[in-house]
Amino acid sequence: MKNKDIGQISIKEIKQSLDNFEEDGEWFYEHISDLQEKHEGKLVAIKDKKIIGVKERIETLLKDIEKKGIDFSSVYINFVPEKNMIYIY
Amino acid sequence: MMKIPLKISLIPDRYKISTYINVIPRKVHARPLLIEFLVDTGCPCTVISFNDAKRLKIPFLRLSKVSGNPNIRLAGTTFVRYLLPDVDLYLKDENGEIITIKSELLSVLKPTGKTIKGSITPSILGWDFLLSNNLRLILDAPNGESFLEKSKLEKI
Repeated sequence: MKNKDIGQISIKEIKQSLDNFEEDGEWFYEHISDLQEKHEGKLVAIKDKKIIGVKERIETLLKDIEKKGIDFSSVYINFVPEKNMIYIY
Repeated sequence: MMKIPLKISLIPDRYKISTYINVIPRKVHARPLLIEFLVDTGCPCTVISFNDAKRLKIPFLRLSKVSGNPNIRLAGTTFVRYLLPDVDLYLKDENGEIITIKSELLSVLKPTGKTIKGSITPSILGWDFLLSNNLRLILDAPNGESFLEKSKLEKI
């Protein structure tokens, strides 16, 4: 049953996209100190362990990524917390 | 017993427990939605953040507000919750194999006003998700381990 397709998406594709997304997420946390030095208080977009965009607002960040011809649905985006500030959601 | 490992990440001055999920809405969206969910037992509901909703082009116009009380306040910002019906969630078990969980509980956040605070609220896996799926949340803080545990999940 592991090769069952979901619509037009195979389980293999689902796993691969999840793996890639998770790796970009891990990269974000591993480099959080560096990111805070350069981009604190901003949203960063990461694809294939590379920063592909930095903006303050999501709308402008997505436009920026789209201009580069990248499908942003698979792009990892997270907020870089400001230094010396604890965020409780 | 099946385990779903959770990621404990260190952000300066605090820890965060999260999991990565591939969300496939059956009715309103065809593409898979890759989302990092913050695991937060203090939140009564499971929600997709406004940032993720924008990134994934979730069409708010095709969604209905959550019945009852659709408003929720997170980090000082008020959001309206829109129900994302008939959703399959794909995530990895402890062996890296894909498992699926069906959900009718997922909602999407839309801020009531324009505010930069609305842009930093994460997607959240809340109390309702754990309860409705009979999941136990295990946190071993000294050893930096956390996972969700269930007697049986549908394996594909």
